[in-house]
Amino acid sequence: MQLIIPSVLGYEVVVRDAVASFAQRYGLPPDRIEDVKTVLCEACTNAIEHGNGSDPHRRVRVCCTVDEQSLVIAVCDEGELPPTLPGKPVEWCSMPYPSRRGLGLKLIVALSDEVSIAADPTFGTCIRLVFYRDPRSGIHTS
Amino acid sequence: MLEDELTVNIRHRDGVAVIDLIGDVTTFAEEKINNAYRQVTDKGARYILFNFRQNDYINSAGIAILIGIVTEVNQNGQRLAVSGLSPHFQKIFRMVGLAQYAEIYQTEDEAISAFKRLNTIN
Amino acid sequence: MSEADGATEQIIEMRLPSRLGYERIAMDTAASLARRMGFTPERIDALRTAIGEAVTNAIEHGNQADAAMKVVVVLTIRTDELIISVADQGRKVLDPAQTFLQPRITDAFQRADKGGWGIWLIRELMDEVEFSFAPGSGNQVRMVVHLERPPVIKP
Repeated sequence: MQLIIPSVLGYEVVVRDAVASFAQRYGLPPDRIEDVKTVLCEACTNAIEHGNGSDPHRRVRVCCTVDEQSLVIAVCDEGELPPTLPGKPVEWCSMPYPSRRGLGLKLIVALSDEVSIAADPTFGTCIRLVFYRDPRSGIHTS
Repeated sequence: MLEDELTVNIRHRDGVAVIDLIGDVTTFAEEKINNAYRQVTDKGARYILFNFRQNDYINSAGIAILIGIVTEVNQNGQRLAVSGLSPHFQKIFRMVGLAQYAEIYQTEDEAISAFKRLNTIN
Repeated sequence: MSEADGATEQIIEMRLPSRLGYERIAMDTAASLARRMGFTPERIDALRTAIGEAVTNAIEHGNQADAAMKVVVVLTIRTDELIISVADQGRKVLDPAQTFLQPRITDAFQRADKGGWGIWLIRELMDEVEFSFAPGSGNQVRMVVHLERPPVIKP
């Protein structure tokens, strides 16, 4: 499932509800769905405000996929690529973020099972979030 | 992706076969609803109540299933009523014409009382 | 999500695989949006039913339930209305006559197939409905719901 929204604050809530519905249909436990909702709002707000600079003509893309173990959500903005990052994934904590974005990222990292950020040459910055259906099931290598 | 979940319960109350439909009434509900109807009909039910609960999704495929039940109810000379529908689905039942063949009641108790009155008259 | 945004309309696009169940996600997403736009609960219920029928048709008929084929739902948000467009990839082209049926329950009693209520429901529940068919590129239904605000009482 793919969802594309304009970079206008408020639409992250529609994404949150869409993905919550998706996660519920997928059978994710209710407490995990709450994690997904919080993380997604933070990720979309970052993409809208920081990635796209709140330019309503720039879009935020959200892709959701599922398999038996996990729900994977990618949130991509159309922001300019950081020149030092030629498309390779980076550790979230090494990114030089302003403080408010940093707080959002802390929440994102605390509530998701896997987080990675990549500078995508086509789309801009993509954050990939993984939620295990059962968080106790340990590390997934896939 | 999970299929729509519908739980069907059968109860007997004051001479009425109460079939609880808990959840979504869509194409996935067909077998469960038809089986419940057949089960109570085989036991000789004359008065049947579909008691809807937690139905935030009844679609046109679900309506077609219910029209199928009404067809058989008419053929078998039974009486059918429905209860527990939200105002939206009450409206849709009226639009489609189902309300002419299955009396709509707000609650199970109201439907049971109406069946009882009917039973004393007959 | 207001007029202060500077743009006259905003667009949300959803791409869904053609598998039953995904219509629920389109319904929930549109309902979430409509709630924020200020639609009444009654209108939101009507919207949910109409979108559910449109997406189910696109999945089952237009795309013949081939999960690899996409259903595209475009929600256009204007200050006074919400436009919902549902398009499939047209593996099967809808017969235009099917979009004007007026089904009757007494006829349905006689038929083996009791269905055929979906498109009729969409027309009954939405303010404007328009179907279009392009061979090779798919079927599309465009539905509009007007946002009715209480009249402004001037002193």
